[in-house]
Amino acid sequence: MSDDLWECTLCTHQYDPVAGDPEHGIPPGTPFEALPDDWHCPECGMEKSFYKRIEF
Amino acid sequence: MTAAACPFSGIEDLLEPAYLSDPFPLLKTLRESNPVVRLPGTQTFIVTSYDDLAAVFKDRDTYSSLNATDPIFPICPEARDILKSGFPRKPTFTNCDPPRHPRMRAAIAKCLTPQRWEKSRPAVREYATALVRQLAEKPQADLVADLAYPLPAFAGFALLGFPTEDTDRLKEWCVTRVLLTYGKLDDAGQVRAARELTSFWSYVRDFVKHRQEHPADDLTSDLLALSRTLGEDELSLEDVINMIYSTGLASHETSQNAMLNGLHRLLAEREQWDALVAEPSLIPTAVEELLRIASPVMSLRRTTTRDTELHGVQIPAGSLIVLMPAAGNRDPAKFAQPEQLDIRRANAREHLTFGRQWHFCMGAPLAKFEYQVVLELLTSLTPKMRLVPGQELKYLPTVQFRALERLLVYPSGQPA
Repeated sequence: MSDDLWECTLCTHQYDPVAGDPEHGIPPGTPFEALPDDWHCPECGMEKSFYKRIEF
Repeated sequence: MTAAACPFSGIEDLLEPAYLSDPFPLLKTLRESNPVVRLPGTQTFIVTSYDDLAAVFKDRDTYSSLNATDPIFPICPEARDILKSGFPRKPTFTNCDPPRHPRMRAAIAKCLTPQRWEKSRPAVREYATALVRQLAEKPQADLVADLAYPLPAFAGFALLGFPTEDTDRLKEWCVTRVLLTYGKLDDAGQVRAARELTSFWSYVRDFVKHRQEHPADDLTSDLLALSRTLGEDELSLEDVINMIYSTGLASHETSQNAMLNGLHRLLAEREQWDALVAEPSLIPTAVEELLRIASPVMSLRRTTTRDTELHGVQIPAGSLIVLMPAAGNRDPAKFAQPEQLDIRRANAREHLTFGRQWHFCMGAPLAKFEYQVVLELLTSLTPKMRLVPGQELKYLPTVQFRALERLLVYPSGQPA
């Protein structure tokens, strides 16, 4: 579990665990790894497997 | 609230030369006065504001995509008969709804992986480099013929596995397909186009069947392999043929137009071009900004499946909804000073050019990569490039795409 940012490789949406995805029931503070399996990118609809961790 | 007056008298107005030449003043007026407006005497509604467009993209239950690639103007009986007999098309991506659409999208998503894109990049970069080097040697070049026509075609057809020697034939079929679907041809033109499209269809069908026997390292072979794994009920041979037919256009036509519209705008704004030459690290953001302000996609279509309301306007079931992403991309409620090109714009990537949600363009990573490579090469090899002044710009007469037919430049910055 981490507070890393993850990016959708299709549309480049970034999932920020600090913000979560409240519009889709994901509270702030939810790490990417803890997202439910049926969560999908809020911008392009792709599944979690399309995300990659952003390395700084 | 009732819909207010509309400046368009019909869809035909979207083909008027003045609108094709510069649609943005009219779209701005429309967005500011009537962001959701009904065409007089019709059941057609035009949507131009960012939030309303995003809402429609998101709600696939109310806004069906089944009509998205139907010919926008009526087809004459003879052309219709030709298409019916030789063109057994099924919905795939842009013209598909659940439950079929998620199945099609999941299948292609399994094949268009980050690894597939990564694998395609060296050849695309090599080909682009050769094109730009040749172009740089010319006293005057046409960015259509010398760059934006061949590059996305090379990348798209290589992805599918189409033989390079078929490029010109395939590109001609694609223009025919665009004109029959989104333009207004006379009856004789429709009949010719319908015959051409049945040839295009036969080509794709024969190619996919050939790949069944002779698989290679390409998307077509990956889809066929997936079909064998999933079974005929989940992904049939017919599905794969339809997917390759759809991708045969989508993999290059919009990329070509995006690149040309963006280069035209960028070269016309010297300060922004020079800033990019001086600071190439801005290229990824510049690409997003150019996709926003110089969108190749002017309109998309949906049909309402039930009575609904959008921006306070009542829309009956069965209405045609014409979405204008290029107008939403310039909505000041979303983008500050939206008419200005700003290659540093922080939220540029939130444009609607690739659509949103369920129909977001699956080829976006390839399109953006091609665009970035082109900007890298042009800013480094032809930093003084300028538009040929006074040239007449002509756009393909279609409702959906903003497609330049020629764009002349002096690669060295001045005539020889």
